[in-house]
Amino acid sequence: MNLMKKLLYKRIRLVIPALGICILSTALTLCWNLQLSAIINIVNSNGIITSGRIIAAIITVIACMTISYMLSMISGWICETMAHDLRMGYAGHFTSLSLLEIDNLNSGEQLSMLQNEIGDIYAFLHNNLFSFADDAVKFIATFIWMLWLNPSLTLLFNIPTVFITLYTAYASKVIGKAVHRSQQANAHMNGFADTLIAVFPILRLFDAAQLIRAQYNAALDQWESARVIEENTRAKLMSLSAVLSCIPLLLLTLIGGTQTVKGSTAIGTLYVFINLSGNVSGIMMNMPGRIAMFRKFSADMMRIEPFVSIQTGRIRK
Amino acid sequence: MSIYVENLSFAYGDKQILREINLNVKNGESIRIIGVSGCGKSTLLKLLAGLYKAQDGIIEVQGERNPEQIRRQVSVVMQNPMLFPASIKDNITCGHPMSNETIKRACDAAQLSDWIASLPDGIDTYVGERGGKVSGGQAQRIAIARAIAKDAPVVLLDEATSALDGDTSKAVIAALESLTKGKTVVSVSHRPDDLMEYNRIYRLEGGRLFNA
Repeated sequence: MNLMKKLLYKRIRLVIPALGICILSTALTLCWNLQLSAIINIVNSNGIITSGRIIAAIITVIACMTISYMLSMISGWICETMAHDLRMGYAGHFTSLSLLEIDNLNSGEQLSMLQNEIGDIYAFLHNNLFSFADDAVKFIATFIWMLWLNPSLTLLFNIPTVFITLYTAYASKVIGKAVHRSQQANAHMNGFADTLIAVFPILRLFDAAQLIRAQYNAALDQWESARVIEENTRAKLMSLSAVLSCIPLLLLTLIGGTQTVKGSTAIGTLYVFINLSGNVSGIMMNMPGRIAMFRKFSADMMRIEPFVSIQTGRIRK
Repeated sequence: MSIYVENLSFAYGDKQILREINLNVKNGESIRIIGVSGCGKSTLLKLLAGLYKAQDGIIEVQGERNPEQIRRQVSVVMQNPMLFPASIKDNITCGHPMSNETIKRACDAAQLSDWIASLPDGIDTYVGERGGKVSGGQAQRIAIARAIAKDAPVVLLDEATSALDGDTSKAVIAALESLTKGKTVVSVSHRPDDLMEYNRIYRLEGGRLFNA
């Protein structure tokens, strides 16, 4: 992950403000939920909501929207910039090679790397890099806040989450292995196509089209069957995971609802718990999938690292 | 006449490579064409192999003028052996039906049999993409075995002995001698010296062929 460190360090002046915005965004979300809880409790007790409270809530909502917009903008900008740095580093590496080294390159493998690894890294950077940081901040802040509001309810509805997380970890591992096999079959097929171009004169001279077609079809079949196994495994394991993921919310409704009926928990607090449950149990359950994605991202980065030259000096932008 | 070339000219776009080449090679004769890199030796060989079509002039190999028919009459061994990503056996047979006896004879002649016998998968060993799982000398001898198995009357060698080192050269030369025995041979090389003997030597310069 040396390459990732270099990429982040190069854009450190953008990364630090983005992390600050993540923290601010979470704080505002919690603040809004606190206000909402108070409003629901007032309505439930037939009280009157003051105009000051309404104005404060509207200001919080507007601030939430603004910060969310800013986070989306800055994270998108950083990710695009980092992906650009990566592509330029990849291209820069090839311009520094000697003719002999370029001659010895397997262009099929390099094209496959450009299409697959760099494409996947770009997708990860774009979709996940800041959502990782955002999720981490949300999880810690929300969990602490829920514990402070209602410790028993927080712990009870999150107990099954631990087991579901373990199941998801197992499922991610199995899916990861299937994905790896499918990727290997895909790389083999791409390498094969590249070799075909190189051996084309011999193929014509020795009339080997039939043999090569059979070999290529075998590689294609191998990839197809690996893909089918991958999708099948993913469908079976993930559908069960989707069903299991409903348990914490059901428990929250059951336990929280009982506590509300008994009067030990306010309706506004229960609403906030339901509203924010995704920030705790949702993130925990998605964690293994995220870790698997991060592992793949890390493997992709390690694979392309020898082919990327990133200048470590920071750039003013 | 095994190879008959009359007033052959060839150009890549505006760049004229070969000019009015005339060449006659009798059955069983071996000739060598030398010239500096980029003078058109490989282009001439590709024309003789039926990989390119003559733009001007006549190319006749074993009485055939159609490139597709010419390709059936020739075997080619190149400096870079160009193996298929398949087994040793498939690289020799190229997917054509061939008896085990023919394959064994080709392997013996190409000095491959002892090495193949030492492999766990024998002749079914996968050579890798671009022959990446075998050494340069072994790949060259597999390419020679492929040419021997084809048993074409004309053998074309493109720098086939240029990249040999001391240890592998003897085995490759012995394999090439088996391949070229009794055949019409055209060998092109940028080096004036060669480890094999030829009936005649030509020099290709400025797109024209001269007696060397």
